[in-house]
Amino acid sequence: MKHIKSLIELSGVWFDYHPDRQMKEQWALQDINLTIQSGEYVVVMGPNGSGKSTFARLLNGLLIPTEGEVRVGDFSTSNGLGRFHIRRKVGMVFQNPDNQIVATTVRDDVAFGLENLGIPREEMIPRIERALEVVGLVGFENREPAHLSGGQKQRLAIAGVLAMNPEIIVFDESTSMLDPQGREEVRELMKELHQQGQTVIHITHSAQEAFLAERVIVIAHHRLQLDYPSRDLYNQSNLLEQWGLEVPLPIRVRALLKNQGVELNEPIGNSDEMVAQIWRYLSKT
Amino acid sequence: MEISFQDITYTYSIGTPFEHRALQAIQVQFNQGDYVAVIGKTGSGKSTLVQLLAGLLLPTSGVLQVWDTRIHSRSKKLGEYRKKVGVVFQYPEHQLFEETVAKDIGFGPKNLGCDVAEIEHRVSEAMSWVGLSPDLRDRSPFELSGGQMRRVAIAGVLAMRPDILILDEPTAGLDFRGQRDLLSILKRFHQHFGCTVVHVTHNMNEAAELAEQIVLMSDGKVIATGRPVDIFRNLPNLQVSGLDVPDVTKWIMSLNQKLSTPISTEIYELSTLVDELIHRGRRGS
Amino acid sequence: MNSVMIGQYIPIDSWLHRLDPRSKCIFVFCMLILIFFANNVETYTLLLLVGLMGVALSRISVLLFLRSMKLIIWMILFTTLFHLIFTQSGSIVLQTPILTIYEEGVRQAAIISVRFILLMIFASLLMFTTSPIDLTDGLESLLSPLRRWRFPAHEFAMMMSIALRFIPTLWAETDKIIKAQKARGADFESGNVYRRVKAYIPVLIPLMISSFRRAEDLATAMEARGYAGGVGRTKLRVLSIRRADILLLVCFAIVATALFWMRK
Repeated sequence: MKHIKSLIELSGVWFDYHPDRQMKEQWALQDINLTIQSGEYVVVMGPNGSGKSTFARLLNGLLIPTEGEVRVGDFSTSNGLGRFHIRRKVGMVFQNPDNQIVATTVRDDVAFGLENLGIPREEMIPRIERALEVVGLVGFENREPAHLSGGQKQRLAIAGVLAMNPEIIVFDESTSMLDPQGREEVRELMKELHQQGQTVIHITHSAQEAFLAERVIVIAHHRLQLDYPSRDLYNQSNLLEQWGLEVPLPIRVRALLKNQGVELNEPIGNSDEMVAQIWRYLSKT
Repeated sequence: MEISFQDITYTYSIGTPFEHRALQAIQVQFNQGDYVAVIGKTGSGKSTLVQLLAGLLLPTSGVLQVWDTRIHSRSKKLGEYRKKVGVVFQYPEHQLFEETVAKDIGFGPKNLGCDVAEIEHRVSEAMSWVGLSPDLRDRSPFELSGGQMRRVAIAGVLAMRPDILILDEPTAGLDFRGQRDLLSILKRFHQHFGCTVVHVTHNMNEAAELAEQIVLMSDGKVIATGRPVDIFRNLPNLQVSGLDVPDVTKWIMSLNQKLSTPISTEIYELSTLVDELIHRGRRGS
Repeated sequence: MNSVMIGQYIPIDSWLHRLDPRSKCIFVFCMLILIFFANNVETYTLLLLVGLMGVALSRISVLLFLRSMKLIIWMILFTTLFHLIFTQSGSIVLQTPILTIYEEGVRQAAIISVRFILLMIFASLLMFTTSPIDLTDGLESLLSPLRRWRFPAHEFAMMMSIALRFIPTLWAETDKIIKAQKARGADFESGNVYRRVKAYIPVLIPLMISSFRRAEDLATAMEARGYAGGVGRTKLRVLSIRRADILLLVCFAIVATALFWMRK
């Protein structure tokens, strides 16, 4: 069998901010093992305080495992040289749109990462143009960040990351502070990036967003609880309730019907399939 | 009609290049004791509207009549009026400042001139309303989790026992369970004290679930006002305002595309929907 | 919202807007020094004329300059009063039972007021017509020779640019916190000075906490985007001195020569 090399590999990862002061069973993250392949669209879902943001920060070496190892490609986050290379491979978009924009205009902010990498000016200009084109901010080059909407600010942050040509983009709750329109803008962009072959990892507590991905990982109580293709998880998503997560509406309807003695047992992978099933139930007589 | 906006206009930064008309000829009335939801996109003027109601901004023109108080462009000394209005701003945990939870919640009642015993009583009562355990009283609010800090901030406003309670996106950034808990607290508080609640949101599910009256805003104007069914029946109005129907309604609408006799879109409770489905299943549709 | 306007960049296009920030900085800095060499009606009139020409060239509404004067009106009133009361030389202009005003006092008061106004005009010209990022780039470039003596020119400019970037954010935050505390019955308007200062504690503490949080978030975001100080960095922006900049400095030379010729 041909061995497929995974892009990201976490093996036996334990982490805590104060490992010497905490009992091991209270550490922020416990015994995480998983691999992510190139080109995947993964959602990491969990309630607030579950450790999912800590997980995100382990991926690009902003945090380093207390035990175990995080590998990205050929490098490990546990040593300085590895982190140097990994920061170039893994781009990160954070939660608060205001707190990640460094420069006073849109163009300069996209340039910031490129300047840090020491990219020559002639190469910077086309890369900035392209990144702004992808996120749909052409024409905003000289705007000040204070005059952008929340969704636009997040798209700017994404452009700043894209210009650096990363292999993986991690969205750390990047939609949670946005209004519905801004959220939609960012989700659309994620989908587009994935279709263009980017590896997308999205950290969120929203069920609605989780089922847009191909694969859903649930982190709760500091541990990895579930890791399913999203279609499979949808059908048994009432499991999510035990961690305080949202259960999609059609699955809630099915559970309520079951309580009243109406069992609809065909597995469903999305809302439309539930509509079809209800329709069959109503027209059976 | 105890609260009425009479032809109110509000303009920011008059006489500068940043001049911006946020509200235009607003005419709207709220009934005392109603739960009112104000919905609209970011920038539709809904935050400005509630800041006027809170006595924090003065109208550029027009009159706001609240019981026997008339607020207009030259009103002075609104301190007394403001004491009757409680406001929970977006991310209210960012306003906490006291050393202990009890002191922070007591800040409002103290400003109202309550004596020590009364403050004590109101703090305990507010803490139990929001579901904070009494042993948190003497803890620093900054040691608490994000969700608990939000509860402390809200308790600080509830402890003032306002006649009008204004909430600006109270559930923003909370996870699913946090949102559900908070909404049920607000619902019970409103039913118990009978105060007028004005809840600003861009979440249609919240508006449908809680509101007796909905005010739909777009572009600084009130587009429509009425019961939830009146608002969500009028799809063109919602689309013009860039809003959607609640999730339940959306799902019923997709089911209705397959049914010869459509299910009423005036159902917002899942249990009612399920009863209807079962009823139809027995009858054979 | 109105006080945000003071010293804020006005993004329109004008001859002054297009100048290199370095030449503008040098020009304004030298003009500010020149103000202190003026010593008679002719020289002050000359400087006022230069200032007004600048205002005209900036194509920015005079109203905005007047608005920025609001910031210093109290300083002007205070020093004027100070000189009217305490300067006691020259002939008497006005005598009342409580106060005697001397000619020298009036002269000093007038000079100080004109100086303040001139300072404010030139400072506003620079701030109104230079975007924050140009300003910091200009300063970084002007300060970079100091690197030889280990002056951290890059870090200084980066700090300044971040500070400028966050001014609107922090301003909005302050406004929001003040409103939130007002809504909780906090009173910022009555009582003596001590009480008023104390009333601001509920604003300052949350503001500080949120600033620390922002700083931490920003540092993380910068690290994630590969920032590691000024070494090995390239720059998107390049500054270039053009003919207009040279013209500006020639103008300054003419004004300075005229002033030294006209002064007593």
